[in-house]
Amino acid sequence: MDIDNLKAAWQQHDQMLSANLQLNETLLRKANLKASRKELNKPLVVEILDVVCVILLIPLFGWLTFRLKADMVYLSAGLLLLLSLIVLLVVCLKTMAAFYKMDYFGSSVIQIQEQLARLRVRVLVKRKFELFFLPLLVLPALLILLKVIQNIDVHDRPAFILVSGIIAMILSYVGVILGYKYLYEKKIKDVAHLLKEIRDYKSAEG
Amino acid sequence: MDKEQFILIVKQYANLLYKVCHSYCANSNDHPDLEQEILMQLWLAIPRYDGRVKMSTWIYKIAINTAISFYRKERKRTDINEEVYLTLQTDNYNPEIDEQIEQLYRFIAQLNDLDKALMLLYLEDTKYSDIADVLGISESNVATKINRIKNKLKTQFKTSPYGHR
Repeated sequence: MDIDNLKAAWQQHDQMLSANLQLNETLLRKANLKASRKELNKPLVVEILDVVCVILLIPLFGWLTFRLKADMVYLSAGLLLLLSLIVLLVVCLKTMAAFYKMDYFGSSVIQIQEQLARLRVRVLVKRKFELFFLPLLVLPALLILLKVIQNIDVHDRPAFILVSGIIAMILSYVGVILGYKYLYEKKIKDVAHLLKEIRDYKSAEG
Repeated sequence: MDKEQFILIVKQYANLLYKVCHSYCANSNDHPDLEQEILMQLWLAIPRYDGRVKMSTWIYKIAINTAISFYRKERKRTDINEEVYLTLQTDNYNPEIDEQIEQLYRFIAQLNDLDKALMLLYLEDTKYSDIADVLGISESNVATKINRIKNKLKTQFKTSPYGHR
């Protein structure tokens, strides 16, 4: 079979489709196409929410740390927490910027797929990073909140708080490792594989 | 753009959407979802059409990109969409019983996502320079890849009844 014959068959297929294919106009009229922008922006909305949360948490814990500044333990916990939040904010802002740079409709197929794959890697790495940071955020935040809300002082029961802290840290990092393994590593590998496929395709020898 | 104008464009290029869905969707249960996804992307994209390439080639690009991304993103199917946008009057024409076309779709389905795009554009008689532009590779790369696909196609069709016609 020659490819030109196939082209002719394809053209005939096209003509038959023209004669027999029907578009459900009623359904299309009913469809909320405006929702498509929302759909497209869903991952971006998640990033924006992340940024808003972090921006709200920084002044809150800044103020609480300032209130407890006389105690070295609380001051250190507060500063560690604030530093972690600032790092997280920078990472979130960079990810958000990457979303805004995406050109969904102006680039070629390969460019768009490459951009999407890179963006996906960035989001996955960011989530992995957030998972790693979670215990560093939760534990000092808990220490400060227990003091402020419940008036439970680290100096009253140091052994109990230290042991609880160590156990919580170990459990959190076991969770982090499992989370990495089941949530992100395979996905990141898959996207890396896709990027390699795209690179190979672009090269004439690919 | 208003919806009526959009419907006119979709009507005009419905064949193209059908062909992309059938080439990229191995599972026919996914066709309505992919059709919907392509239509949504098209709705967003159409105001950006600048006329540098043919409208059909440009719509191919949007449809192909959506189809590739559709299968790569993790979708959780909650229910099977009963309503479809494109319906073929199979009393008059059924490509599934047009063995040559069916075999061609099967062949396209075996190709990787980017070769599928190349093959679709090639079958539509798109100029190599436009294919290169849509895909984002050089014209010589397009020619090389098309030759490779042609060879694969020859081997495959040699074993089919159409090879002996």
